[in-house]
Amino acid sequence: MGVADPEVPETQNLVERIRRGERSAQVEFVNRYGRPVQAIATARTNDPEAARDICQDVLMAVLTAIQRDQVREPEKLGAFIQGTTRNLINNFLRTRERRREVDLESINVLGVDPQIELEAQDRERLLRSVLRMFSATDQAILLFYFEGHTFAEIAGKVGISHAAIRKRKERMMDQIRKIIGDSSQD
Amino acid sequence: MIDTNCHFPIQIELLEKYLLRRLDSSAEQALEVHILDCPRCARLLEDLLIIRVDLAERTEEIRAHSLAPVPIIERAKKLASNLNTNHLRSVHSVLAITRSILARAFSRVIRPEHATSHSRHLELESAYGDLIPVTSSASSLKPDIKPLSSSYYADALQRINSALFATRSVFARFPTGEIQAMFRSGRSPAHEAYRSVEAILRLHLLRAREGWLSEECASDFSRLGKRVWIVNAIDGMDEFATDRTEFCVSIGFVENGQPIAGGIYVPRTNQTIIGVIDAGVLNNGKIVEPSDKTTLVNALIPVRLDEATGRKWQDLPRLRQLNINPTRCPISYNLALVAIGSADATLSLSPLREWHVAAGAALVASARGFVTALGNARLSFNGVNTLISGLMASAPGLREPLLALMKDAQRSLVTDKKGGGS
Repeated sequence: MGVADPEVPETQNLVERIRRGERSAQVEFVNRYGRPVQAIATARTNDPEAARDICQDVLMAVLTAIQRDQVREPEKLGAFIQGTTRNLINNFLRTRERRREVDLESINVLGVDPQIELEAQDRERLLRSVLRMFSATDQAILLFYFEGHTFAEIAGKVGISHAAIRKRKERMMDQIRKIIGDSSQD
Repeated sequence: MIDTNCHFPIQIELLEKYLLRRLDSSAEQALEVHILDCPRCARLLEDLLIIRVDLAERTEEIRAHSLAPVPIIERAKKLASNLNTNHLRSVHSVLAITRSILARAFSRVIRPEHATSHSRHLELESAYGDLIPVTSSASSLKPDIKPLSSSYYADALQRINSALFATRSVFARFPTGEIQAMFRSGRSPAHEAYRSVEAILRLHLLRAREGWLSEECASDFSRLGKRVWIVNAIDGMDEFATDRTEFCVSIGFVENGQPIAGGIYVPRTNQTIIGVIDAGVLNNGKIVEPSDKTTLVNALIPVRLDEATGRKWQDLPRLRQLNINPTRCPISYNLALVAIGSADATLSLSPLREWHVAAGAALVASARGFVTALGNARLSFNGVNTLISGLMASAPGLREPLLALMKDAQRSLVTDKKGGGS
């Protein structure tokens, strides 16, 4: 995995601005980390509604920690957010209770930029359309794959060889990338 | 901040493994930190989540279009046209070929060593159709086969089979020997598995105008008066959480308060037992019957360990005559053992919830066995109160001996109490 080090000055700068109480920095923080945190929470919990709650809680907890000067290594903000996210997800999985402690003011702060939300919705619509372009068998291959079946199991179900399944799946993912545009182009 | 080193194939492979929980804990954490710092990977993860959700929402549609077997009549027509003779193209010939294909299929499906009677065969063929596989291994139970029979119960049985098959993917994520390690790494495998299995069961079982009863939603009374699925996603949660093998997925289908069809899947031994009341029971694809024992002497009676060592059993000395086998298996599995003839009877003197019993009771009923609440009261499901005071079940031939023993045991208890009181 080509894991890049975070751009230290930028993160430090963001943390410093939040610490000083700059509202624009809070908005930038939410816009930048809101969706990734929610995606991680959705992947771990399989529960989009709970993931939204967890995301709100994580962002609030991290903002509060920054304001209280509890983030000792601002250059590792990503790791701090990840730790907080993991803890809250584990709490949720243990207790299966959703905390709803976000006050009205924080909702204003934690709302992701509507433009970003709109772009995400467009992307979702496009993705769903692209999926429907594949043949029923190809869709079944993807379905079984994301249900957690192995290639060998899928081969048994749809009557195509193991190698062909792998190739078709890779081809589909490649086509999806080409149609919706590789995000590295951003 | 974009990580320009993230090459698509490597990136997507990692994210897919992350989504399918196939990375170890440290790799997961490293990837999560990376996702938070890399908008490209974050967006790709969102895309994969959308793909997964979209496909899951359309599961039935996709399965129906991609996996429906070629109808047998179409196969026969195709064969006839390939032979290229006028005679074979005629309708009569097509039907003759169809008949021969059907006959060949059934001669393989119902094997002589499992035959009991001709009428029994017809009954089973009618209910199970293609569900009865040629081989006996559990892995050969394909969930996507369309049943030949159009009866409602056969459809329910097909759904049970599909649902149990689909849960395999969840348990593959929680292999034996790793549950404790998962707990130690801060995960909650028991809850994760329970939620995933219940979601899969809902997806495969529930249809419009049907109710749902499980431990999680016992107080949802919209189920009352409907046909209802009574499920226990992980029956034997303590055993699962402590890395033991004695747990199962259990599904019961109840109509008018009576169990109609049921199924049990034991992940660690890959055993699947399904049954429906108007046909019978299959154990890993084999037709099975309950034992033919008619006396309780040396009868095999599995009983939950906590029951066998509990006070209620000690209070009923007559029951000590029984050949009890204390086991950690859940009561639903003990009932299933009675249904398949691996045990002769089972008992529970402690109160149970409906989701602990429904699947097993359906299987015993499907095997023409005897199952009743304590005191020979009729078992009734899908009530407001989901508590069952206790139960007994046995092979058909043990009905009278068991009832007599229980009656005797209770009478002696009353006598002892009166004697103690005076």
